[in-house]
Amino acid sequence: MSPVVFSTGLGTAIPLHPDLGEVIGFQLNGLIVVGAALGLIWGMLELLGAVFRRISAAEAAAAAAKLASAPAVAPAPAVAAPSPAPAPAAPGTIPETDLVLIAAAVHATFGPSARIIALSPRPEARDWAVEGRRAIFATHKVR
Amino acid sequence: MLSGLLDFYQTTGFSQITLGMLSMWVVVGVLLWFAVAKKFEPLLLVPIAFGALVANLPTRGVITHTETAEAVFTIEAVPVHDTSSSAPHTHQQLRVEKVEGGLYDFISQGVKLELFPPLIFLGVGALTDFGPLIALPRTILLGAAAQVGLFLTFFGATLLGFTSKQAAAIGIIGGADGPTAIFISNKLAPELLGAVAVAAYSYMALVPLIQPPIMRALTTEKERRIRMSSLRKVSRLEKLLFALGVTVVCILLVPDAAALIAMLMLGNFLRECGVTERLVKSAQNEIINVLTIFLGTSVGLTMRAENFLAPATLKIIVLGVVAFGCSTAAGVIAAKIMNKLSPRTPINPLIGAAGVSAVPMAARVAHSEGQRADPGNYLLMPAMGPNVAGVIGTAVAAGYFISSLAGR
Repeated sequence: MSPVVFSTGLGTAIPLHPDLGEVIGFQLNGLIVVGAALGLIWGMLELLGAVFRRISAAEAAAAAAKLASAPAVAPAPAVAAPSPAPAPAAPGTIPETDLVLIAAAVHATFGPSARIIALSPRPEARDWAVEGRRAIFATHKVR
Repeated sequence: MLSGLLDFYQTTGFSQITLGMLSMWVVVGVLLWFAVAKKFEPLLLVPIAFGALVANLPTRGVITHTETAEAVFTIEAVPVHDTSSSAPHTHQQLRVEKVEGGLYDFISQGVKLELFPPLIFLGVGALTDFGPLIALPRTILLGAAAQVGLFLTFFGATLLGFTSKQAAAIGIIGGADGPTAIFISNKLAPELLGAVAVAAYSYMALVPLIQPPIMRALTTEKERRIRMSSLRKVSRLEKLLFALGVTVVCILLVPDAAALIAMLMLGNFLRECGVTERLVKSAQNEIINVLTIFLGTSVGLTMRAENFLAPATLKIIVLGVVAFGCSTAAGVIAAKIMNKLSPRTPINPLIGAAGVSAVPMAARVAHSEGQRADPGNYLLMPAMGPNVAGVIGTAVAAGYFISSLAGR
């Protein structure tokens, strides 16, 4: 009895029980198809990225030019005394507001039984906090 | 009185318990232990395990409906070879005495008719941020490379005696994409649906255990310490154009992937357009949650002892882990090759492992492996690029398998 052969939309045919050559050909075709699809998307993204980077650069340049040409405005007198800002933390220490936030986060995540034993400041982590905020704001509609 | 009790015993389920059923109860127990105690993919494994338990109990009215319909229908038959009006028509009366189907049989139609996986993709699209991929487009190649494992497993499965259709359903486990695995299994090898789904979801849950040794074996300490720059900001318009572009490109190239790709990108478009918040919220929560319950139990119901307790299941479990390992290795090796070709802008090879589309677990694993080598290295966002590319790549590969094997 001859094996059942399926026709394919990609010009190849593969039987129900293919031999080694047929399997390898089928695999290569599959990889080419996946590569072609993702390659096309890659090309599209590079094109889109180039266009949008140019647009954002032009917008930034226009905004900078507008700022430079705007007349200098004298600062208005303060109407009310601003609330006192928290005292800046000494170098190498963690600001008080950060401590409160960290304690609240630990309490919310691990519960009341958790205790903070030690905290050590890591300057490079600040950039990633900014990056995280940026990513969140970029992906959510903030009202 | 005794005969009355014996008669009653015959009506209970106890008399219908088989050894196979008892064995499957053990399998159910193991799955529930993984899901509840170990928290391995509990959202899917709990419904799957529970469905498997129901499938291996002598139920009535759950999987099959036994009430007598007592309906008489008149049917008109026309010979197939000649449907012209001149063909002789015959009339027959058909008495329906038994209606198949109970609660879960009707729910399972969502799998049989291939409705659930694309609808789950709607939710996945609504939950996925493609921004990292758009910001760093070349990482899409890592998503493509990770599909190598899928095709290698196809090769292995054919060597082990599976048919090409079954091999395709097994190979897709390497894509680490549960809905796609179910979609393609149902289409090409429905007899393997339960085993393939359980293997796919189990290995997705075991990504943090399977991937790190392979990642460490294929990379040097220096490579694992490579830091990647912050990603550029991606505008909303770019994301919208991406969703439309991917839909058009993928469906034009592989029309058989249309159901998955179209729903994935519809969900993403809803998310990014910013004017359909109610729909996005539904897709992200109610729709995907309800469908997850239905999909899980439907898959579990296919795990009847006579289907599941077979040598083929063991082979699928082994091939599944091979598929996962090959996909992980291919992604890492592709990243290393990219670094050789473009040494001025190196990427951390660990993110290549995220090309398997277990979102976001694989990206998290890449991130934590990077932090083991360098605690200040943050790879999560760069790793999300290949991770979401893997979702698209697996859907395209599934479309290729279906177009080549579904027997048009």
